[in-house]
Amino acid sequence: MTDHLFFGADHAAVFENWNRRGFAYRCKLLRAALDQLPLAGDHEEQLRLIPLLLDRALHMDRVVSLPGPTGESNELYLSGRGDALVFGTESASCVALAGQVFSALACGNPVLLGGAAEQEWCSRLVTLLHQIGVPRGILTLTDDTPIEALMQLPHLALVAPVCQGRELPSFQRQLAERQGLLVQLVPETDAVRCTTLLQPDHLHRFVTEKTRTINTTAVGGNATLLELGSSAA
Amino acid sequence: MFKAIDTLEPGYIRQPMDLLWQQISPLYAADEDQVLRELMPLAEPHGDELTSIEARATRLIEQVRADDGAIHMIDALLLEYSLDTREGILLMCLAEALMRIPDTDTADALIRDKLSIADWKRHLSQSESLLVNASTWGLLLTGKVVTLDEREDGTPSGVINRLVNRLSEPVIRKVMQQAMKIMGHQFVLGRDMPEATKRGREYRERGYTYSFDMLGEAALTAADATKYYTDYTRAIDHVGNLPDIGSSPRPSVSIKLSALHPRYEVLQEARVMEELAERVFLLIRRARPLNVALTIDAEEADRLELSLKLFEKLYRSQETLGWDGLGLVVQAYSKRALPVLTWLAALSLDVGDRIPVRLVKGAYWDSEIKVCQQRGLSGYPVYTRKEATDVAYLACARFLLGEHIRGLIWPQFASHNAHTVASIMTLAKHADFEFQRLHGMGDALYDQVLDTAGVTVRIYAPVGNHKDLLPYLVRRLLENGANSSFVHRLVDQRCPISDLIQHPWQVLHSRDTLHNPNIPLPEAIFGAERNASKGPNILIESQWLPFSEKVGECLEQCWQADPIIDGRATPGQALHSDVRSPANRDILVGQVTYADHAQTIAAIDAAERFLPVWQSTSVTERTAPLRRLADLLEQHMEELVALCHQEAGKTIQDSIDEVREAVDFCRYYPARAEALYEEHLELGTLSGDTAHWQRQGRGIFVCISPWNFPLAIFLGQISAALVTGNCVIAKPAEQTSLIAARAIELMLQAGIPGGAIQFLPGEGTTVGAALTSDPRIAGVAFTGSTETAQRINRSLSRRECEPATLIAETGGQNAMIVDSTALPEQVVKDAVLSGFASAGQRCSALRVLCVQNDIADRIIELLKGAMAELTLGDPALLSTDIGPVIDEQAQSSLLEHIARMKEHAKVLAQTPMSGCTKRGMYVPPTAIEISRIDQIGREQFGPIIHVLRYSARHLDQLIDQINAAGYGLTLGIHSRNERTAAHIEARARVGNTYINRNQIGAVVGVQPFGGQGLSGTGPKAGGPYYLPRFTRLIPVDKA
Repeated sequence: MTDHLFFGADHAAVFENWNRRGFAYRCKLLRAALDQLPLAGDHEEQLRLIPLLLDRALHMDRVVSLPGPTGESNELYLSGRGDALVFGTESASCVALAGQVFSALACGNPVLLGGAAEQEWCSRLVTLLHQIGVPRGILTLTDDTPIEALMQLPHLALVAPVCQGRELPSFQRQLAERQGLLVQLVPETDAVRCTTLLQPDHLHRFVTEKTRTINTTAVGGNATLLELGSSAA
Repeated sequence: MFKAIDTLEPGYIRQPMDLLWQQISPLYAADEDQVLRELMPLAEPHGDELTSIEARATRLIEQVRADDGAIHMIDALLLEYSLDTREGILLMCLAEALMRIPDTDTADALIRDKLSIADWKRHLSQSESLLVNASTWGLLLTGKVVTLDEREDGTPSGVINRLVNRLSEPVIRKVMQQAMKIMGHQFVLGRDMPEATKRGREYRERGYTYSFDMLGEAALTAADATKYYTDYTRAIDHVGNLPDIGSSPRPSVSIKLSALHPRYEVLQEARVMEELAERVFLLIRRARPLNVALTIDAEEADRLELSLKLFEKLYRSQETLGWDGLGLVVQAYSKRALPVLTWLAALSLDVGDRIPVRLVKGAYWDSEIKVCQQRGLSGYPVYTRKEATDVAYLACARFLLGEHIRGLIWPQFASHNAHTVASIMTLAKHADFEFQRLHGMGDALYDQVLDTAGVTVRIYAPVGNHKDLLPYLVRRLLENGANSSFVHRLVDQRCPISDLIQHPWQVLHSRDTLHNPNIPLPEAIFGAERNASKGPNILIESQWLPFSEKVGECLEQCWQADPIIDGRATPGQALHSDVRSPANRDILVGQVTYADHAQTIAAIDAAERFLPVWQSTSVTERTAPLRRLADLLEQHMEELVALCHQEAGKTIQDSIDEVREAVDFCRYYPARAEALYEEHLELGTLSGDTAHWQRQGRGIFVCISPWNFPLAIFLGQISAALVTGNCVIAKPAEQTSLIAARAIELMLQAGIPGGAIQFLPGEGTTVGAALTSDPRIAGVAFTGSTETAQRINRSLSRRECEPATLIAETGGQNAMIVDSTALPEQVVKDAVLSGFASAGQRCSALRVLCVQNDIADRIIELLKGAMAELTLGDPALLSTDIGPVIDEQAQSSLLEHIARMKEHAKVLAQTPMSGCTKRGMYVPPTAIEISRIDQIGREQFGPIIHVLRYSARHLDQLIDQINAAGYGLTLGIHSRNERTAAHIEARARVGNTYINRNQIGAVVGVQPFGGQGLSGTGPKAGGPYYLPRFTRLIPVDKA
């Protein structure tokens, strides 16, 4: 089985475009879904959780300038990790699933939404998100492919289940047996209160960091430095 | 401390020469205020000097400004497009790169890059110069035309616009190239000597003379050095046969030592003193009979002492004895300038021949400052204020014009500052000196001097083709274009004369501090958060000699490593193993006892027992001993460097950098941890309430470190885990257990409790496996191969418990992409450093050098030449560039790869091995040309660079290929086209991108390090997001 089966043949380019759109664009886009979220028992909780996640994701848009020697610039910014598998096991709630989906999407990742839990609601969520502009190649609802098989997709970068704590060792084991990159397991095990999703570190599990160092003296930056030598302080 | 005022005493230079020599080096990075306090009395105007200087300077400036021909069109252009405008910078960048680009597509793209983003409109009609206004119109139109083919969002626009663009591009390119040639013409006298002397004849008839310089920067290869040597010989022959013209003194030739030898470096002193000296002797033998004086140009501060040693050898030789024609340049911005002059005067006194000395202010100021900050040096070799350099210049001038120096040194004062010129004329009580100016600068000023002062004026005139002038041109543009430069202000009628004639002594005296508070010392660049790590400058005698002596003593030591449990070394019953140096298997470095299973369990037990104590210890109590450890590491720098040589085969600078990185980790993580634990965590809940949380260490962390950074990564992982409240079990790489053990000893000495850190040297299959299968382990920080990371992950996952945190930094297939706007010499320097430093055994090291077809042949030629100059050998020797690889297994694997590639690809070059490498694990640096990245297979962790050509049209396919490899650690980009660089950076899925520099040596807190995909899990080490992964949030009951 390949990722293309779910995401399409031009998946790499679609992911790249989505990822390069930036957190601000994605958060704005996703925020448009808030008014139309498919109804569920925990609708009110969803309306508390998702804006909070999007607010946090918005803060991740900034490029951090790092101090360092003169004549070069050093910046750190965040980028999506890659294909994310989001699913819920029996105990999953809509709010936790929505939290994982919005987290993954806001951080620039393509999402494959699957699992046995809340299937109809998930289907309506996917339809809604497509309607508001999330590209089809970025968010896909799986067919009835078993989770175990989905976890073996070759380009998978992270798995974000909503499950119980006791289920985690098994997921972890399946992921560890894969070849290739180390797939991140980013679970929410508190489907009702979403205590992990609410924590400030959670969104960082969906991103990877990029550092950009530029020797600015190669493109005229030494002029600024020379001026510093003439500063009158 | 050097007493500057004493140098005015006639007896001063009669001291033994070695005493005067000893005054030079210690001033390299001496306290700036102290040095300037010494110099100030020499520069201070006495009696009526001040009024006399002011009157003279005023006259000169008025005369220059009254001269209609004084302002060249280039001056006017630079006045309008000064370097404090974006447009000025863009023009300079274009000048730097455009003419060397061989292919039109890339040249056009660069023009588009530079011209389309500036605001040319605001420069319209701002200048009185017709040329400048015409140029502005041209730039404005060009800027408009080149942007026509893009929509606002950067996507290509319609066919018609593209057509306009295509039709206009050749014209634009030609116009731009012509403009660059005009600028070149301003600063370069001629493309060859006949053209230069023809063009200079008019000046000679007016009484000027010349010092001709052959354009070209440092030679990277023996072939380039030979070419420059030939240029110099031709220049000498040509100048020697020039007829005398009127009163114009005989012209001379200036030589750049770095152009004459590919390794004119302190590290290669023996070669410099033999090979380079011989080459200069050849020039002297040629020049002397023709009566052509030679002047040795000054270069970077690190080479000053070497240049003086070489000068002394040349000057004392039979070839030179009795000749007044061998001179050199001294840079006044150097803190060592005055003691250098005293030493030269003493040398002249000793030998008997007068030495011509050109006193300049110095042209490498910006790079000197940058390099010192990067290397964590104790201070700067140059002054940090412009007026301080001017003061130093005048202090040196007073010395040079002293009666006791007359006849020993022939001063040649090089300046374009009317105040400096007026000062010299006022200070001089005799006429035994000359002025020098650069071709294309200060014409009007020196016309006045020539007419009124009766002093020789020599013009330093670069000769060479347009391609070679670019770096020189940039330096001149920087000098002329800066708003603050005297030349700039001189032609700016808006600048009052009173501002131009301020005496630098008065200006400096009026400052709150003599040094520039806007330029922090290298150790202070991180401000209040922490001190940057320090390192000695091994290229400076006064720092190198005491350092190397102590390292040498430590090399005699034999080290011992045992498991350390609960703060006590516990040799136990396990395997003892001898540690032998990878550089020479005959050298026994020490012994290590590997931990056995019982000790591994005992270590986990100890950590478990201590965990509650450590987790309840305040963050400041956890961080304090790590900061003490940082200080201890610096205090034990020499021993640790010796250990790095012996056990890891690291060269001297690599070893220093290793210790510095460890120090930086031990200061950075405490600062971050304190900030992290100060955060007030009041989080909303889904029911609309708030809940209080606090951070806590995850529990017991296992830190498994690699042999390639046996101290830095080892301590980086451990310090991150400790400051966040975890107890640590450290398992070092088997190959480097001794360094790790010594670090743990220092850690305990610094006050880290024995229960918090357990040390288990041993093999991965025994100790590592036992640790990662224990359910008490909450997390693992690992750096090493991708395969080992997968094994650890599997072992952790097989436990029936909550999944552990795994932070893995793994390998890379790192590329460098070079387009045809790049500077080939810089590319090759950076590629050699990125690919071969540390014998290529860095995660970040360059593996695939991707070069645009149009410049590939030149790059490969330079790469071959540079590789031929590398020295493999004993890592403890200063002259060694590349040491051994870590062990026999690494060696044979790399050699097998090279052998395999010989069958399917083309080996371009291989550095020769010397006999002294026979007893060690050496692999020759090798460059192999390939046609596809997937030919390489898995990462080759050694000194091998694969070279791949690509077509500019297929840049995106190249990026796709790099991404498809699955690794994503580092990427180098060399391009002067900022859009191209930004495009590559954005598309490449890598953790660290370096633009227009090498791609190794990430600095803690500056370049957070770590990759994606197969290269690691993140978060990045040495970055702001690293520590939270070592913690968990726990709810706090606030009631």
